[in-house]
Amino acid sequence: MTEPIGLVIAMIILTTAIGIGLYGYWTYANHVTLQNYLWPIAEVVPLKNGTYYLAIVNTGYEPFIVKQIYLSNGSTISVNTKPLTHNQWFTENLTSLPVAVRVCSAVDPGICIVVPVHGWAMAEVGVPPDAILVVVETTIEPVVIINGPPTPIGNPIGNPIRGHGGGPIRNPIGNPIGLSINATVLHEPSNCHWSLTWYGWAGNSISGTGNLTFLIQPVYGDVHFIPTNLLGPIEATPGSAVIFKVVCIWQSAP
Amino acid sequence: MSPKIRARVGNRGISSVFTAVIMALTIAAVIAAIAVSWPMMKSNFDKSSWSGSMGLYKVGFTYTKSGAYAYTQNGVSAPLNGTPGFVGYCIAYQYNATTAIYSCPSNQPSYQR
Repeated sequence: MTEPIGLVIAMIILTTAIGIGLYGYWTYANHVTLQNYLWPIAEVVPLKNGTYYLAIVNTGYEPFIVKQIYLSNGSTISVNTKPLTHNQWFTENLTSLPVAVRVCSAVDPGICIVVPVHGWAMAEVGVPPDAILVVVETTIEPVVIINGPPTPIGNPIGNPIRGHGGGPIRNPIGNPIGLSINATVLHEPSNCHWSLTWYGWAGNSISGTGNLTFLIQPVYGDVHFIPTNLLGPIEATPGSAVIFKVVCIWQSAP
Repeated sequence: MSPKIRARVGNRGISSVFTAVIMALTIAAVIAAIAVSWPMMKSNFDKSSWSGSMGLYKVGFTYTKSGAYAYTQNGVSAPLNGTPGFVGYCIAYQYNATTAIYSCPSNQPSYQR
C-alpha cells in the first residue's frame, strides 16, 4: 500500500521539478530572444563647431528605449527616450565623444543591451562634372573684365576675358568649371556704380562701386559663389546657367 | 501463489508504471524544451545574420543634376547637405568643398578612433 503512495509522491516531485526547470528555461529563453531582437545602430559624426552629432536608429522590429549614453570622458547621460519603432531615429548633440549607448526593450524594460557607437570616416566627393558659369555683361564695352587662373580641367582663362555687350560669355567657354576660379571684375571707369545679378538655384544680386573680387567654386554638384567682402556663399544648381549680369549705372554730375 | 511471489509481481507492476511515467515525463520535457528553445535559436540565427549585414552596410556618393547624393547598397539615397542627414542606416554631411563625413554600421567603433 505504501509503495503506490510513494510512487505518486515521487511523480509529483518529479513533475514539479521538471515544470520549474522548464519555466526557468522558458524565462531565460524568452529573455535571450527579446535581447537578440534588439537591433539598435548608433553612429556619431563630429560637427564643425566641435560638438558631436549622435544618431541612434532602430533597425529591428522590437521597440526599444534609449536609456543611457556613455561618453569618452567617463561620464554617462541618462536620456530615457520614447520607444523607437522600426526605422525611427533618435539624435542628440553632445560636447563629448559618445562611445556606447544602453538601450532597453520597450516590451520588457528589464532587458537591456549596451552597443558601441560607430565612428566616422571621410570620403572624397570630388567636383561636379557640369557646373557651368555664364557671365553676361550688358553695358558698353569695355566696362567689365573677367580674368583668373586657368581652370584645372578646362579651357584656360588666364587671359582676360572681356565682356561684350552683345551676349553671354561662358567662362570657360562651353566647358565645365574646374576646382575653382579666382576672378576679378574691373570697372572702367572707376566711378561707375555697378550691380551684379546671378540666376540659378539661389539667384541674388549685389551692387557697389569699384573693383570686385569673387571666388567661383563648384562644390558637391553646386556652384558656390564666395565673394570677398560680400555676403555669401550663394549656390546654383549644376547644369543651370549661372548668369552674372553687370550693369553700369552712370552717376550724374553733382 | 505464495506471498513472496505475489509481492514480487506487485513490485514489477509498480516499477513498470514508474518507468512509463518517467519516459512520458522525459519525452514531454524534451518536446517542451525544444519548443521553448526554437524561438531562441531562431533569434540567435537572425541576430548573426543581422550583424553580418550591418557589417557590410556602407555609403557611397554620386552626383546628379540636382546636386550631390549619398546612397547605400540597398538603393536608399538622400541629398548631401551641410548638416548631418540620414541615408538608410548611415548619417552623412558635406564637410567642405570636396569632403563628406559619414558614419555607417560598418564603421569602426568611435572609441577606436
